[in-house]
Amino acid sequence: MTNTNKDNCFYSDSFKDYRGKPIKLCWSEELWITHLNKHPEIIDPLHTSELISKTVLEPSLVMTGYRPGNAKEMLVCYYKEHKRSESDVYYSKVVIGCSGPDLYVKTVFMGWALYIYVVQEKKYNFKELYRDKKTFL
Amino acid sequence: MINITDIFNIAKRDKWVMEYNPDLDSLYWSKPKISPSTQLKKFLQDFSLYITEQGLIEGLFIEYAKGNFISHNTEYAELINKMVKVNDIYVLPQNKVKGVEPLLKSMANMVGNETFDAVNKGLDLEKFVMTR
Repeated sequence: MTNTNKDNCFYSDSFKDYRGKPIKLCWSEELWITHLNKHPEIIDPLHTSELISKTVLEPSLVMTGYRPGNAKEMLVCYYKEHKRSESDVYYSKVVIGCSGPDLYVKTVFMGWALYIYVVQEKKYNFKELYRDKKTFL
Repeated sequence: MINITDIFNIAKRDKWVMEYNPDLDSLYWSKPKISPSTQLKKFLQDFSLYITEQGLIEGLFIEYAKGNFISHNTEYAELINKMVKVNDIYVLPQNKVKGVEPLLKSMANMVGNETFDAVNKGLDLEKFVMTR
């Protein structure tokens, strides 16, 4: 989701990814509510920050590229496996935008998926930036 | 038991709303507010489903809507074209729903049919949706 004017941050935080790169977050109250309504697993800003931090600091897989139909903004997608079974995985995903002066959090969510369907970006020629040797993603 | 064949009627009964976030290219057709016990479950190529602990469906989520799903299923572009901007997202107004009901029914059927295909290919749906 889009970042908003820094003067209008209802929820703000900053993180460092596995490379030590700083990532900002600044969501208005309206943006927070919009997000929470569709992704209740984020619970509150404290939980959300913990989730983002874990995902970007110790990711299982990181992909970068441009989403189809939008060549303007480069994205970095961080995936983290939390639980797995023989065919599916419980994972978190954080999408970072790179169009501003700082890297910034566009969205975060968690879910279960069959392995073959987790990383959508494989279809769009995103480049792999990082892969944990142990990941099945 | 998850009721995958009745998504259209569930959506009508529970007053699902369709929302599009252009910044993320995400399309949601779901209850306005997803219940806290709900988890996203993805066992189909394009759709993720919101499913509660009891196996009830609360919505659908498409991660790359225009860039992927609609580019392969162009008839659904009408859904987004009929939406109106509300702050930073687009919403299908209630007074436009009637006009696109065949498309919504078709999308619901697509989820049902693709699920049957997945089950026929070996997906243990009950186990997958109940895993927490």
